[in-house]
Amino acid sequence: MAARVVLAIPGAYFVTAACTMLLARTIPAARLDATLWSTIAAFGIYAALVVWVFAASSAVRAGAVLLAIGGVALLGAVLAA
Amino acid sequence: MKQGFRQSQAGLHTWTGLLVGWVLYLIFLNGTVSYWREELTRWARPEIAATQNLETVTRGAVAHLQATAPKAASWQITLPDERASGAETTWKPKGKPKPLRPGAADSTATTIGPDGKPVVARDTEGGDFFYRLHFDLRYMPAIWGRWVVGFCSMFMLVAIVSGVITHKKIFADFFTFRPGKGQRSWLDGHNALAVLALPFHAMITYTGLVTLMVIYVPFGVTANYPTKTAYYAESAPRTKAPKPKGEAAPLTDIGPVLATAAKTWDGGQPGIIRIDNPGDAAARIVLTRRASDKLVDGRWEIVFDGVTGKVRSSVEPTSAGMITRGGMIGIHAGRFAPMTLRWLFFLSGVAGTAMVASGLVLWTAKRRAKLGDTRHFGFWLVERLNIGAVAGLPLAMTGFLWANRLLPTGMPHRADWEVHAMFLTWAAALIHAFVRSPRRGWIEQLSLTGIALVLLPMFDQAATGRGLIDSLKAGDSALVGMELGLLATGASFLLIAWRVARSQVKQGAKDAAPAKPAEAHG
Repeated sequence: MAARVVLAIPGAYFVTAACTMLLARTIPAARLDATLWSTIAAFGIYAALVVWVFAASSAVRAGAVLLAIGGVALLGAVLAA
Repeated sequence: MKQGFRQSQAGLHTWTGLLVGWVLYLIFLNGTVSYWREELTRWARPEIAATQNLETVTRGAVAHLQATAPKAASWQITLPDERASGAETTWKPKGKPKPLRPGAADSTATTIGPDGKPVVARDTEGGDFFYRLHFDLRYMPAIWGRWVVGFCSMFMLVAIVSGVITHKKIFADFFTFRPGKGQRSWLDGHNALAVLALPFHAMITYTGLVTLMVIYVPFGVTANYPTKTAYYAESAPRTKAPKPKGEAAPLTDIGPVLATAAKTWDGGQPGIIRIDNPGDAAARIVLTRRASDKLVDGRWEIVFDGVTGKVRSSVEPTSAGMITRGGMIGIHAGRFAPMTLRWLFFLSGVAGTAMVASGLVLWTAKRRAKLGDTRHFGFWLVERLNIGAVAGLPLAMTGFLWANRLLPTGMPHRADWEVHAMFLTWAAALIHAFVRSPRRGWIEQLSLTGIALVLLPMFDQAATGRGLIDSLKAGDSALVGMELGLLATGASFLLIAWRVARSQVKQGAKDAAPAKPAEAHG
């Protein structure tokens, strides 16, 4: 349980941050619009990730998937810069 | 994943709900009350009558500034909207402006009454107190309060999602209410309240997060802008004041300026008028449209030449992103809402507050059934904190209203002491909850709140000259609504206290029978 709490609160937050950066740089719209839309979407992404962390079959699996999503999003965000 | 998705969500829902429930209760209750922010402020300042004509007030404000601060670098007039009364004038002296200590009162501020003349009202935060408490909390830097509120709101969003998943029979549950069955009734009530206003809860939580989103998730901004300043320069560009020319020139008449603004904004009115370089040839009048005129929260602004009165420039939100954000904030705050919709917002907020409260009570009701008579520190603590929070907070808020009426008007730091009175009442309620039996604690605090609320309109009638009868005669619907609202709220608290007293008598007899375990909250 403690592992899932750590994965959910700071863990999913960092993954959300990476996804938000990726969206902010890839949504095909003006810079300001893409920034705002990605930030608005961030809360939905975070909520979905947290729910999923507690539903995953094991904490290890939850951690691995979070790491994968976060890594891909961050890489994409860096490449899109 | 043998325990199943739904069970995992039930555990998540129960524990996150308790952890942040008390803070969410405060956020929900104060946010709900804040739909009457302007009316509360009017009630808190009975010295000021209702506004009749905005132009009279504006002309009075300009005349006051002209007389008291003719050499200022800039003037600012904050105008009341339809539900409010009393304009506020402030001004900045020439030279480098001294930064105002955050939260400190502006010493140049003067209140202008509906007749256009300065009026001395009691020092109070009025409805603004509940509004700020709703997202800044108190006695801590606002930014900490905002993080705590954001953290709890995020839990709320997760609780909504997990709550929906937990109740697979959610819509069937809505039509199931089994009163008089203790824990089962609390669960049914919690479900019904949650489902009834589910669209409202989801909307209000999400849009609430959006109001402060760049604080909570700054990464979209950091991804696209070198600095936050660059982002603000693009999202909310400021109109800079021109340098004064040093030639005296009389300020143009404000009447035609207001008329032009109303024409440009389809009847819209300014909420803030800023006048840069008054009395100089380079004077500018900047009108910002008031929030109650439009759904989308954003900046509509017209800049007039202060000498000729001609329009020099104007802005309004055009970015699709800013309109999305502004629309969400607009729906959250409901500043645009006409009365019928405002009541719907308010009642949905009441349902939300009651949902959080019933969830908190459910937590103890469920465990009381399981634990029986065994003494358990955690249970004891939660049960008492529930009383101090759920019943104590409305009592404390009522204490704020009484402090507004009873503190002497000349008292130094009077507005602060109204707030201290609220928190001192709350502290007393918490202590009371720990020293009385739970049953007594609930009944006494709920009934005291009810009595204190019902007595307020009576005090107003006797002591303020703006009681219910006076306001009915004056046709002052905002204050009539306030007085009736206080009576109705007080009566509701007395009714709840009476129900608690009655049901606990009945339950005492039933406690011998074993309680059935709840289905949904595994």
